[in-house]
Amino acid sequence: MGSHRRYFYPVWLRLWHGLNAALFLGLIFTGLNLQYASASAANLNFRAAILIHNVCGIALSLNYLAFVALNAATGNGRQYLPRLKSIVGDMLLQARYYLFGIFRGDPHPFETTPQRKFNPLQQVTYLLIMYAVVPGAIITGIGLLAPDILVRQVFGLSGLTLTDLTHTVFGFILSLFLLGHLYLATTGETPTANFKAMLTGWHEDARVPETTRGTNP
Amino acid sequence: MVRMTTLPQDPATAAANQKCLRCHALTTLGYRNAADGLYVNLSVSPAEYHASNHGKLACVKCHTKAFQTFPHSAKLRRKQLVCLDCHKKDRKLLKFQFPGILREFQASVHVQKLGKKFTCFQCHDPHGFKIHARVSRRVAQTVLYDNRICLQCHGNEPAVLLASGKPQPSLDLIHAWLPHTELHWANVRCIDCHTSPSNTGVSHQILPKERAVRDCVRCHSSNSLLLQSLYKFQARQERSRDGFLNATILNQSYVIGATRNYYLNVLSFVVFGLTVAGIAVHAGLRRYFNGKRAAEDEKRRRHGQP
Amino acid sequence: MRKQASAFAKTRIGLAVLVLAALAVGGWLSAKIFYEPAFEWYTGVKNGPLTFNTSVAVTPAEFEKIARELTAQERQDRAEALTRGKKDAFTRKVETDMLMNTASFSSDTGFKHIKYFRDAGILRYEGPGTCLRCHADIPVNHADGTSGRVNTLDDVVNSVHFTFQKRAAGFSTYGYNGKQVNAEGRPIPVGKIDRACGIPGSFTWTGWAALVKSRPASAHGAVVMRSEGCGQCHIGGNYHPATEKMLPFGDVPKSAKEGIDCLICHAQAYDMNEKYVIQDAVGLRWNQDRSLKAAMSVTKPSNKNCLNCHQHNFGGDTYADNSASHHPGYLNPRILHDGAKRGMPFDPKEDVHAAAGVQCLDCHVPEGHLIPRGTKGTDLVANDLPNKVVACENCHTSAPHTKNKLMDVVLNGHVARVACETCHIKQLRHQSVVLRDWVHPTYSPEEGIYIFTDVLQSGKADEGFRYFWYNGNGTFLANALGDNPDKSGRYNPLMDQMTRLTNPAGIEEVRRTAKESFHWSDKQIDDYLKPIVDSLSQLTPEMLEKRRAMIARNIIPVQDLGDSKIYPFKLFNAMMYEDMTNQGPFGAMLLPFDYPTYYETGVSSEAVRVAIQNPMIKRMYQYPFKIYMMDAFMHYFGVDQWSDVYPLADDGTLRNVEPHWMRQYGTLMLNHSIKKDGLLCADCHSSHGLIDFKALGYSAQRIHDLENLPEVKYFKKASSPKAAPVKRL
Repeated sequence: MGSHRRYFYPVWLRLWHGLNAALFLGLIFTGLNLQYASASAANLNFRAAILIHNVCGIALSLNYLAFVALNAATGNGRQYLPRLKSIVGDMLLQARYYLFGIFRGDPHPFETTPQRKFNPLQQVTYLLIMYAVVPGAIITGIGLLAPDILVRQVFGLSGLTLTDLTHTVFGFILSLFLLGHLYLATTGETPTANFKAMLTGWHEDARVPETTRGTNP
Repeated sequence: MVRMTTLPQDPATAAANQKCLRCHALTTLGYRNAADGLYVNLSVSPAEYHASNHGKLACVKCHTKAFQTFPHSAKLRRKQLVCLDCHKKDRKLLKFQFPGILREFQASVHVQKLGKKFTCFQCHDPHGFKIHARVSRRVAQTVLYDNRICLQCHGNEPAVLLASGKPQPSLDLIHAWLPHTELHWANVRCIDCHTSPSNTGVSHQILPKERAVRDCVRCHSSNSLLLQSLYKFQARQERSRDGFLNATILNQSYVIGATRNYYLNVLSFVVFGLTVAGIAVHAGLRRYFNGKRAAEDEKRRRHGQP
Repeated sequence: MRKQASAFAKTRIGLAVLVLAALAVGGWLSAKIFYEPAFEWYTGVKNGPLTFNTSVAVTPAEFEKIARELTAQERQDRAEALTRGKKDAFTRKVETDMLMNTASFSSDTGFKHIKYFRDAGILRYEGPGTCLRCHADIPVNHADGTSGRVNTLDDVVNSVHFTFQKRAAGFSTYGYNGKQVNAEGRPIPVGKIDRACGIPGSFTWTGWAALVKSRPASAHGAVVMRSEGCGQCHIGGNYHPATEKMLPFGDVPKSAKEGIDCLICHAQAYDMNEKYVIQDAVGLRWNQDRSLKAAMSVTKPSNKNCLNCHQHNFGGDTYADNSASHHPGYLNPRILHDGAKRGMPFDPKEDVHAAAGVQCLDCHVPEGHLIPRGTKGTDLVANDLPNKVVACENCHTSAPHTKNKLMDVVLNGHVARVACETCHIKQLRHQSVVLRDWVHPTYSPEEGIYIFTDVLQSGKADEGFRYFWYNGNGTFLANALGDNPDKSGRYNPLMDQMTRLTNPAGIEEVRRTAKESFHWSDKQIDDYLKPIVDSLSQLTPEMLEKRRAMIARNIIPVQDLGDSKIYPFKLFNAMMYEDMTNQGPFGAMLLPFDYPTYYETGVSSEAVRVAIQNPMIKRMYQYPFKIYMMDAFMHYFGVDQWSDVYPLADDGTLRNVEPHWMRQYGTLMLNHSIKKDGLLCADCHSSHGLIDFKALGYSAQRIHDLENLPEVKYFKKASSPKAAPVKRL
């Protein structure tokens, strides 16, 4: 076993993650403003909310493209691919940890290494979120930005309504994801360890030899 | 295509009307008025007339019989026809609330500014008039039909200049503040923003431009203004056709707040609440067991046990 | 192992990329070097550096002299306007002279380029290069209100005035196969460059520039060389038209671009006497005026510029008010043809708009160098701006009549069904050719050459032109398409031969001309008249049946498109040699004539024999040109497949070539020579009016109504000049 501190998150990844998080928050905030707009409620100015939402959305889309490109270029994309053979068992194992093991102080069932940063549950969730829901939200978002390119009618329903509904539902799923993501980030070695790692790039190893434990309170 | 429901016309009326339509069916029958240079359209489309609300009437019912001779006498023209000549008296037409419409009309910016020059016929062609919002199943068709009425003048610069003495500003420019202007125009009527709400069905009180709706949220919210105007008839119709549930889910078109339909809304609150609750319970349990374990560790350490 | 393999794969990919790149660069280079020679070998056209001896440098002193000459009239007019009040004639003259020679009068002129050239020190006009020094790109205003800049040379090179062809969609022409030209499938280059008209024959390639020996009476037996060919009216100064643009790739060579004649459209002092054919080491081409004087007179194109060429179709080459007709060439004067295709001059004497000083470009509003023809057209002429409307209504609105209120209403009512031209063109020039016989030329002692015989020229309604329903579209052989709005199916002009000559006076005229020109017997003349009065008699019963079916299937649906109005159309037919192997129910492939042979010997078949030996005509009968263009072309023509049997047998005789009249007369749009006063009601609304309501497909009841309108009597009174003005309603 090597050093207990390992370099997990390269600079580009941290930059991307930070930007993504900030834009995400902006989108959710302004999105809620648009969704629950009303004449009486004292909320953010509707037109300002539209502007911010559009700008953040476009920025997030570009950021997403950078993410996909860099994932492909650096090989980081492989982190998201679960081992297909044992995927069901692996996920159950991880779920059992979150439901029971975590309370007992059991070790994480899958060792976190720079080669394998995500547990199977993370892999599957992230894969769905980053390669299905986020692109879906981006595509429907583009559709709403330029409604003239949309299909007018789908099975007798307005294409716009359908796109808008999908966009709203995707936005909602992503908000839920954010909640879960933030919470599960606290399940690291210490509640703040994962946050620090995301800031500094260095991951505190969970399985450090007993002898070195005391050095890092 | 709007389905044209042709009203039955009795053969005698049809034959009498045919005499007039021999000339008046020519689509370019008309002249440019020497006084103001404007085009006066004398053409009546037989198909449109038959499909209109007045379609079963003989021409001479409104235009006097003296028009049957050719050339038409110059004196005939002096008498201006008025809608309320018929519409005030007839009990069958009470439901259309003509007195209310008249009050709104007289309070409208058009009459306020232009006075007697402005008549019903400036907007409504009696030969093609149809109460569109009540009969069309598609909002887009109603929008097209109603906006065309406004554009007869407001899309015609000389007409506006002549009537008001002021040039018609570019509609594109003055609506440039409105995001997706074209889309709004295809889906919302001019009068939805430019009238004051009323209960005559379609408000006839056109407001001065300063008082037009400019607040996005007036429409883009669950309590949308449009539900009282443009979507009023449609919602009513669709409820009777498709049942309440379908109508509620399907009916609302692209009005951002209105995609917040009731059922999805409740569902999202429930899911969101459950997620938050789940996290809270999980975190609480973690805290509890961690504390317990830490206490045990502490105890063990103090007792010198490994 | 794997690493090695992947490294190897990478090397292989890299190698492939390198090879491909090398191939691309090599291919591009060889295309640059070899394309032109290969193209010239294939098509037989020639290119070379183009020089014009009119491009002469002047001295600064000469420059000033030319400037004074050019502006003299303008300065004098301005000065005279100021001195008009002076009573004494001599004082007036002295003051006028003083004024017009002041510095400010000399510098402030309509010819702005005098000053520009003086400032830039330009003392010689070298061709397009001189223009491009300042006008490398120009601003363009589009119809939709947007504007931008275009490269001037590209703009001109790709305009119809240079290419006279288009490969893009935008033709109002439908093939007899029911397909709109170039709207679907693989588009082919079409336009005047390969239109089956003009000189008969399909390609301007055989008739671009020719020198013909003539012995005109005026020369008393001496030989005078004469110029002839399409190039006289086109802006290219090359040895051939923009042939390169007909092949899938390749631009016209640089030398051809340098030969473009900017000044014929822009110079007010352009000398049409410089337009004649010259021969140099490479071949025959058209000379042009590149004098500095012409260049100094540059403005936006005026009517005179347009009519330098377009009067050819309007009033005709010999139209007295056509200035080009008085300037046929200092050398090898151009052959001027009597008999115009349309016979409606755009001239102040004949046209109310020309009289009002309206400029061509006022209606045909250009975008850069692209000039709209209008959205309607029966013929296969390419259009630079096919969607830009050029119509009376653009200015006159759909309520054009304003003189007499009661009449106005009813006349305006007609606008929906009757085109403005229908009433406001009452007659054409007499020299409008209706029947042109190319096969039997007549010797003209005056010109000293053989000339095709116009067996009927007429500008009269019914004889020279007739009325048709028209929705703006035409067939591949220029037949107006449209239908009676009642859509009863009664209107079928192509089967009912609505175009054929029926007018007894016209038939008599043909008989007389044929007798005079050909010295034939009555029997021969009867035979000659048969296809003229019954075009379809030239078809076999099977062909006739096929024609009927094709019209029902392919043409009637196009007739029913859009809204039709009644328009007047000039009638036109020509007798030409046809390649009968490529015959369909609507006609056969027309074959071209060699000009010198034709004009000098009068043996028309020999002229065909010579012309079809042109390399490009041979290519038409070979692969791959057959597949590249001819098959598609002939589908539009109504011929199932292009037969590659070359109409010249090995022994040099013509193979299956026959003279024929077209199977239907062409109908040509009439839009100019507009008269202020139109027809009167009774001219059409009577039992023997100008318009044949029955032929236009009206029902018997409707015909009766239209011919017996009770109101006509009233209007007759109202429209008579003696009538008191009608009280305004």
